[in-house]
Parts: sequence; structure tokens; C-alpha cells
Amino acid sequence: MPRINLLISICVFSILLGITSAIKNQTRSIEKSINKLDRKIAIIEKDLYETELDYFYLSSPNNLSKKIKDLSFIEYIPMDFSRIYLNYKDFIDSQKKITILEMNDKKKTKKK
Amino acid sequence: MIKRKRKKNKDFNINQKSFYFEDYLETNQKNKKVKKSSISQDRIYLLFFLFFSLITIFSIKITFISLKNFEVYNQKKNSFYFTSLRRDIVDRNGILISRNIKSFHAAIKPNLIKNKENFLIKIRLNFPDLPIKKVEQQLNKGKYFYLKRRLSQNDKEKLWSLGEKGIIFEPFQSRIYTHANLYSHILGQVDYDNYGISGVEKYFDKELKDKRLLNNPLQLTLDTNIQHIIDDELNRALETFNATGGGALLMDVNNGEVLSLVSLPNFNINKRANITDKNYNNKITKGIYELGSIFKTFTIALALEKNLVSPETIIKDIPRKIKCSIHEISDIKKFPKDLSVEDILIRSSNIGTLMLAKKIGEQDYKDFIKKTNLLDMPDFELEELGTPLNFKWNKCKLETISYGHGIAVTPLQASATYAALANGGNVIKPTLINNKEQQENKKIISPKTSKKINTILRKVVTEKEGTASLADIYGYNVGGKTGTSQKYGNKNENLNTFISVFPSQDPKHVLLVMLENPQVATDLVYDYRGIKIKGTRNEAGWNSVYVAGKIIEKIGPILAIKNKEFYNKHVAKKLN
Repeated sequence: MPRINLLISICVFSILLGITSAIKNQTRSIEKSINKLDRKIAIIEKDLYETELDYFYLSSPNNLSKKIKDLSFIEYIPMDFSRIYLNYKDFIDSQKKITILEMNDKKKTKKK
Repeated sequence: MIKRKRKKNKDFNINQKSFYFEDYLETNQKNKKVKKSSISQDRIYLLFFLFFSLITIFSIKITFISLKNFEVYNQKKNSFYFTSLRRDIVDRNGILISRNIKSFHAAIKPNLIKNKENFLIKIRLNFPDLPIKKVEQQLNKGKYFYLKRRLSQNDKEKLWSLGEKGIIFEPFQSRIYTHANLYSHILGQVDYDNYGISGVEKYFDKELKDKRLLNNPLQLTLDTNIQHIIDDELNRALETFNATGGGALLMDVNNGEVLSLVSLPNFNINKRANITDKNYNNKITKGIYELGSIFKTFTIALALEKNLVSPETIIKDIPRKIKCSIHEISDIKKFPKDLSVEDILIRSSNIGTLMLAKKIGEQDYKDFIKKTNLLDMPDFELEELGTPLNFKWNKCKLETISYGHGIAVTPLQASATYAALANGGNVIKPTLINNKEQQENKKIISPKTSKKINTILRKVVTEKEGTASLADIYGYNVGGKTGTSQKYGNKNENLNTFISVFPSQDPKHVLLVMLENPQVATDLVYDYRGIKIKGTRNEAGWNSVYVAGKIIEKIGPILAIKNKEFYNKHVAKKLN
């Protein structure tokens, strides 16, 4: 009989030990992930805090009116004079024109 | 055998008197067994209890971690966490105007610097502005010292790239003002230890550092957009009229909430500079001025309140000059000999107002001035407040005060009195925070007189003879009074003021515009009652009024949209 009791005690002890260690490990991993998330939240909150500051600075009426002034000074060049080409053929054509003009210029200077 | 034992057990009774002999050994063994089994049971209970306690501890730990407070982990070493030591300040629309951020001072631990000469060369190359000799001296002393306080990101990177162990980046919290110059005269500054040293930062220092309220920003009654518009217009006016300074104040006439307070010149509060020039004082709250004809409105209001006259009463035989003691009082312009009471204010007649003041009498005038709090120190949420100069009711005082001379007050107080005249006579306390309980329950005039005054003030703007035609902005029914005076203590300097109330049929706002030493704007073309004319004059009606008109034209729509009465009547609502 005492042996049976001892066995039961050992069994209960080992089962509970197993459960406790599992719970402990689980607690540890949860704690780690909570800390990780907490740190992530803190970083995001810090970013948000600073971004808010940037936002309020950049959208301040003084800054916006300065930007409007700056933008109104930009002169827009017509498409024909810009270096934007809608396709490759356009680019080649314009390059050809430029080389022909340059060649003509060279010829003129040689004649002189 | 077992059956027999059970039977014996059944027969066992402690209370029985007659018993038979039992085998001692058997009984003893039985007792031992019972004892042993109860011990092992206790052990199991104990084990259960122990493990239960452990599990409970882990559960508590998990709960604690998940519910932990930020501050528990908010250590200096941990750069991930940041808790502001001071509350944010926002305007009435929730726009951020002041916030704490993490910044660094660069300190030096001389004993950690191996090659001091090399270090000094590097510092000299990277920071040519630093006093290198002083740095060298401190380095030789061997004590911990600050190389540069409040580092910019660029400076920090430069120092970091030097790779010196002896450079310590000491973290601290610095205050950032998102609108730089815009609120320089209101917000004030904080020192390196987060103590407010001026302005709102000083006045609300305790509230701003209250740990329980850290997540709730301190909301001011100011409006950033309106503040910017007024600041912009006033800056332009300083250029146009070549003025040395200026100020403007926009206030709600009913609750005293200040929507805008501008004083020029201003400065960037993000930069630390030791400003000693008096021109940088807050002209609205600290400046004390003789505001001139602005005071005539008070005299007329009091005469009407005392039922001595009505707006239509004709004051006959107004002399061109009056001598009082050694002073000679006269009008700038020639006016008709007979003027109605409202005409006296519309045309701004000094002598006419003086005659009314005499009718009122010194004692009643004294009582009125006392009620308006004009001669008391203003009660306002700023540290920078001017105390009105000592005032004695000696000879000729009543005469000079009646048209605004010999009495110097802050523009803030004058505006508050105008607000009281316009709102039905209720004395208001100008405020920067929304606190309805603060208002006094005191009247200076009756609502009836207030209506009469509002009508006359409107006529100052609309009538041909009025001095403030340039502020007649369509749709806003502006009324007001101009004041052209000499600066207190310096008679060579002019001070041109215009206090307006609008809309005059039911005033909501009072706007004061003030220019110091404005010059004639010869290049400016005025639109004077539909006629284009060039600037030739220098009175308040030609500069301060012009600026006020420009301001009202721009802020009017903002104020109207924010006005519930207007909004409910004129703004279309969505059906869905």
C-alpha cells in the first residue's frame, strides 16, 4: 500500500511538474512576445508622435503660404521644348533634327 | 478473514463499557495504516497547493505584463520608450502648437579622450563657431563639461562621426514650437529643465507638468489660421507704412476668448536668443499707451447711460479751443459749431467730447473708469503684463481723459472695455483658455445704451464724415473708432489705433489694430468709397483702419462659417 501511495505521489508530482514547466515556458514565450509587441508599439507611437509634429509643422499656414509662393514662381515649359518623349520614335526624330542642325552649323562655319 | 475484520470493525465502539480483549499488534498496525494514508493524502494536497501557487504566480505575472504601465519600463537607457514630461499645447481647432521631443546635449568626459590635440582640431574643423580656447581650457581641467547644448540632428551626426569615446550624448526633453514666430509673444519658452520661463509656458507651468493630464493637451482659445492671417497682414502693413511695430487683438465680445494676439516684431521661439530690445515686448499685454480718441466712445457711452443726452441731442456752440490750466485743447480739423452727440464721435471732436465729460462730472467718470478695470493690472493668462501708470485725478484730468489723453492703458484692457460696450454692457475678462466660470457678473452700461453705441460706431465707418471708411467691408457691418495719439514718454512717435466691433447689429468680435510710427504710404492706392486715391495722410483712418479692413475681409468668412447662427441660416446641409 505505501508503495502505491508513493507511486501516486510521484505520478502526481511529475504530471504537475510537467504542466507547471509547460505553463512556465508558455508564460515566458508570451512575456517575450508581449515585450516584443510592446517595443513595436512604442516605436510606432514614437514615430506617430514625431510624424504628428512634422505634419503640424509642414501644414502650418506659414509653411503652406511659402510653398504656394514657391510653386507660383515655377515657369512651365511647353511640351515641344521639354525633354519628355512620348515614344522612342519621337526621341530618335528629335535627335536627328538636332544632329542635322549641328551639321549645318558646322558646314556654315567651315565655309566662312 | 477480511469479512471477519470488517465485522470486528463494525462492532467497534469507543463508548461501550464492556469490551473484550483484542490483539494489540493487529490494532496498532491498523492505526499506523490509517495514519500513513492520511499523511500521504496531506502530501498530495501540499503538492497540489504548491503547484497551484506556482501556476497562480505565473498567471499573475502574465496579467501584470499585459496590463503593465508604460512608465514601469520608461527608463533612460531604453531608447524605445518616450514619455513627455510636459503636456502638448493646441489651439482651439486642435492644431498642435507646442510639444516636447527627445533632444541631446553634447558633453565631454576629458579623461576618456586619448589624443586631446587631435580632438580639438576635429572640433575646430567641424564646429568653427565654438570658442575653441575655452574648450581647450575645460579639457585641460579634466572635469565633465558641456561642449554644445541642444544639438541639432546634423550636429549630432557630425559629433557621432568623430568616433570619440569621451563625447557623451546626454538626453533631455526640449520643447518644439511648430509655428515658430507665430505665437512667440503668447507661448513663451521653457528652460533646459522643463520649467516655463515666459508666456503661457510659465503661467500654466504647474498644469502643463501635471502627470495625470499628460495625455490631454492644454487647449488655448487661439485660432492658428486667423493668427496667421492677422500676422501676415500686420507684417505687410509694417512694410507698407514703414512702421516700427504693431499689434493686433481679436476677441470674442461675449466670453472674452482671445482668438488672435499678434505683436510685431516677433522672434523665432525655437531659437534661444537673449532679446533685450524693448521693441520685442508684447505690445498688446505689456505695452502701455495713451490710446487717444478711442476713449471718446467711453465718454459718449457714459453720457448716454446717464441719460444726459441722446445720440441726436445737439451740443451747441462748441468752441474751437478750450484752455484748461496751462493746456490748450483744440480739434485737429474745423468742425461745425453745433454738433449732435453721435456726430461728435463720428467726426472725433475733442472739444465736443470734453463738453460731454463736463456734463457727466468727475465723480461719475471716476466710478465708470473704476468699473471698467482700466486702471487695474490686467488679469490675463500671461506673465508679460503691463501695469497702468499711477493715475491722479488732478486739475484738467477729466477734460484730457474724455478724449483719451493723460491716461495710459494696455490695448488688451481697451479692447475688453470695447467688448463690454458692444455686448450689452457686461464686463468681460479676456482669456486664453475656455473657462466660462471665470467671467465677472458686472455691468458698465445697459443693453439699451450698448445698442445706441453700436449704431454710432457703425456710423463712424459708414458716414461720409466718419474716420473709418476704409474698414467698411461688405457683409460684415463693421463699426469702430479710430485713435491717433503720441506715444507715452516719446512725443515724436505716433500711435495709430483702430478698435472695431463686428457685425455691429449684434457684435460678436472686437478687433484692435495698432501701428507704431506709421508713415504716409505714398505708393499705396486706396479705394476710398469707390474712388481711387493715393496716400497723403497719416492718421489712423488711413493706416490702422485700412489694415483692419484687410484683416476683416480675410478672417470674416472663417468667423462666419464657425458662427453657429450663420451656419444654421446660410450653410446648406447634407440630406443623407
